[in-house]
Amino acid sequence: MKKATILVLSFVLVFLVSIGIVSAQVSPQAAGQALCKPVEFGILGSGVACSISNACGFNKCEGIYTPCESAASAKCITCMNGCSAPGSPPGCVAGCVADFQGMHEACMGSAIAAQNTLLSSGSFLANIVPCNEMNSCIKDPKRGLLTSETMESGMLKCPELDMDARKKVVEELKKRNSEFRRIFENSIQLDDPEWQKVLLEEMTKGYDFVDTNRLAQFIQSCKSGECGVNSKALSKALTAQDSKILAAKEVRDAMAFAEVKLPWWKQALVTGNVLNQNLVFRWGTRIAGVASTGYGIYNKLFAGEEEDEEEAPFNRNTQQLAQNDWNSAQSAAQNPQVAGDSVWTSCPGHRDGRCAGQAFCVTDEMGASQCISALPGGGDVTVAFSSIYIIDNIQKNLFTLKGPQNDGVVYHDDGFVNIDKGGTTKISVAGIGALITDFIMNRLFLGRGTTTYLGNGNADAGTYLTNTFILDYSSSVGVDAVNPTEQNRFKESTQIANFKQDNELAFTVNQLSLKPYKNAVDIGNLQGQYQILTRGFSNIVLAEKDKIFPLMTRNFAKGDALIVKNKGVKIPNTYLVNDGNYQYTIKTIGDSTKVLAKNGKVIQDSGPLGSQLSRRQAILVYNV
Amino acid sequence: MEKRGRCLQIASSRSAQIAVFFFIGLIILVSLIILSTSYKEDTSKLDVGIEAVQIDDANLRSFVQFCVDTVAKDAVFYLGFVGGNLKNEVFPQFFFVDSFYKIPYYYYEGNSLILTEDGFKNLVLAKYMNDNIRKCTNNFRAFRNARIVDANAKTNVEMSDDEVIFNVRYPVSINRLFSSRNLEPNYIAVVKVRLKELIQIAQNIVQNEVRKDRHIHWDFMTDVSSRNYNITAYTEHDNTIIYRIIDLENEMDKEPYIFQFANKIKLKRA
Repeated sequence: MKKATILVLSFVLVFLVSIGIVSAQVSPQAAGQALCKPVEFGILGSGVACSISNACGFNKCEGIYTPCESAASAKCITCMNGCSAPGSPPGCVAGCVADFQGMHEACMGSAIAAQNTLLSSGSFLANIVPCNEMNSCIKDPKRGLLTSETMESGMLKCPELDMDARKKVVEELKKRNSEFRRIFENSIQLDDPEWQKVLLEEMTKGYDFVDTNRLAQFIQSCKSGECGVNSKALSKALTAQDSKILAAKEVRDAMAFAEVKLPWWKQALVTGNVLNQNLVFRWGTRIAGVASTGYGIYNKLFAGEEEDEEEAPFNRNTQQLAQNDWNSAQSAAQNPQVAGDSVWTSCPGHRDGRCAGQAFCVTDEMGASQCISALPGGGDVTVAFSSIYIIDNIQKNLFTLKGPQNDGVVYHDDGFVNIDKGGTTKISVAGIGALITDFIMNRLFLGRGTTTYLGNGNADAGTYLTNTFILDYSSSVGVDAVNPTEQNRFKESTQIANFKQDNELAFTVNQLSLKPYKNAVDIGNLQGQYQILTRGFSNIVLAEKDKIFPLMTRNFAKGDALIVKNKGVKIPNTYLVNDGNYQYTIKTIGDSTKVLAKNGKVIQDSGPLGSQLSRRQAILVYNV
Repeated sequence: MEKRGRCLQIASSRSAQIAVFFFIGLIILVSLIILSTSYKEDTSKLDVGIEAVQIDDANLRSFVQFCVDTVAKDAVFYLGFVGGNLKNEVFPQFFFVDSFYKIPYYYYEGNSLILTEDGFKNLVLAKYMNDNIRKCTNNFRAFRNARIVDANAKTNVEMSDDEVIFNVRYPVSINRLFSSRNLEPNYIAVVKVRLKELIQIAQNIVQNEVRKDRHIHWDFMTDVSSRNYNITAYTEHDNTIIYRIIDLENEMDKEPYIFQFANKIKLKRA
């Protein structure tokens, strides 16, 4: 049965061919039309790139092949028509067909060569390569490097570009110079979700944006698009970006808009770059005069020759704790193991003109914020995160910012660092001191040790909790915390049992009342004189230009025998000292400072007894 | 044998008579000498006429009492003002205002040098009285027409809240003609001053200094000042603070009583 079928089909085929040959012999025109018909592009056969309509260069191929083949076909037909003329040589038809076949091969070769040239050039200009071929172009193994002209021609805007092609473009661009990448970044549609996905992925894998404006646009577009549902991806991608890029203002603006969280270590690098753009000013040279007053007093009292021997270990301990804080912050700044994210914000409502409305603020997860523009550059200051740490490398001070209302510190040209009214700011002084202003512009010197400012959002807002020395420049009053041993020396008054039992001193200015801590001091500016309210334990000094009038509180206000090193001190202001039980007036009368009890009697005099005697005394003493 | 015995009796009786006459003659001679001497003294006294009134015990006691009172006041003054003024100082350290005017240290770099109340009474006040009463009586030269003999005084000092009481035993005898009379030896001098409390105040301050010499206890001083004292801590050189306390309730020779002492603070050396 099978053999019969094959035999029949073979017969039919031979028959049909025979008829054709006969017909040709019979009519050359008819044979020319049949034999010179152009070979259609699509049936050139597998293995020929031009054969697939979406293949890269198909359009180019076709553009070359089709006219060429048409011309060959026309030439073949003309040749065939000549064969029907009388006297045409035998084999004329066969010759025409052979010529046509040669021209066809040539046309096909030209087209394929053009396609290969295109692929190897990488110049897939939009007017040459239609969008439907672009995926093939980009992914073809023979493809050469992308050209700038290609990218600028708009091919990267092809909506048909698939993910693999896009990734391949970006992969390739990682190896290209920044100018190439800039062209790329300006050639793609950043609001294209597909590009957004690819960029998020490739940025994570190492693609660094070059054009900060385009990166900013990408962040904003992405926030409205792909990143709106995948904000972590944006943070991850940006974390992988070069810190210098992220430090650009427009990028920070965008990150603030998109609320991008960066891990603390990355934020530290970014802020470091922002800081490097800031002005440099050096505490040691600019404010030496101001600082010397506070430091001189501090040193005279607690670090110099008159240091109380019992206080010395405590002072050393508090100083060491501050040094430890500073060291920890330094190592944290260099140790990427600690978690903690922060975001850039536009410093809404910031008190410093350089910051308000500008994306100079970094805000941690707890809400504390720091305007980087308000810090000195030149490596003087480092910013680290987990809490926000402002590490002053010159002064060896550390500011630790916490709390949702803390807008961080602002360095001023006069050397004072302004701390914010909100949250808490812990100031660890490992150097010789820190100059601080607060939101009501109190100007303070902080000695070596740790002082925490409790701002808005805390129960005791406006309080400095300190284990060291604070000098208030306006009142010329300095206070110092007292060590626990000294506190234990005295039986604590039952009056302080209900207060907070921190050993630190709660220092306030102009509150005109004491915070509920067992050790507290408030300095109030009354009309023409200052009021010092005290409770518990503290050391206090009233500063003159070169000398001090020392006093202290040991449940009750007391004088300090250190006065012997400040004989004759004449303080410029009048002070009322009230310890809750006794009140004293301290003021200069004549050539010395006197302490008057409430009954008006002088109980202490910074001056000497005097050697003038009555007549009777003189007779008895001198025997005259 | 009997004859020889009678001769011996006669000889013995004669020797006894000679001895009796010699003794009587000696008595007469001595009496004449004594009488002759006393006659001369009486004569000179009358001649000079120094004593219009006859020296009696009352005058002499008044004189001695005056001295006791004076020395007592001086003793209290010196104790308060310069820590005593004794030939051998009780206190080992002084703050020198000048070479004469010096104030005792009751506290000196960690050590208490202050005396107890008994120390002040016995070593300063009583001793001053004992050492100086005879300087005041000056060998009774004001009483040249009598022979007055004294002995060392012995003093016991007591303190009440507002007085210092000197109980002085000072034996004095007056010799006239053939009579010698001892005056009543016990004298009492009372100085109105609150020295007992002043010493307690000073002791309190010094005790606190020993505990911690950086503190000047304004609260304590205020309390003291409210008891009608002035109390002030003055600042001196050489790490010294001088406390001066003035008793405003009592005057001594129309001047308020002053009690002052020095404290030397222990500070690190430069």
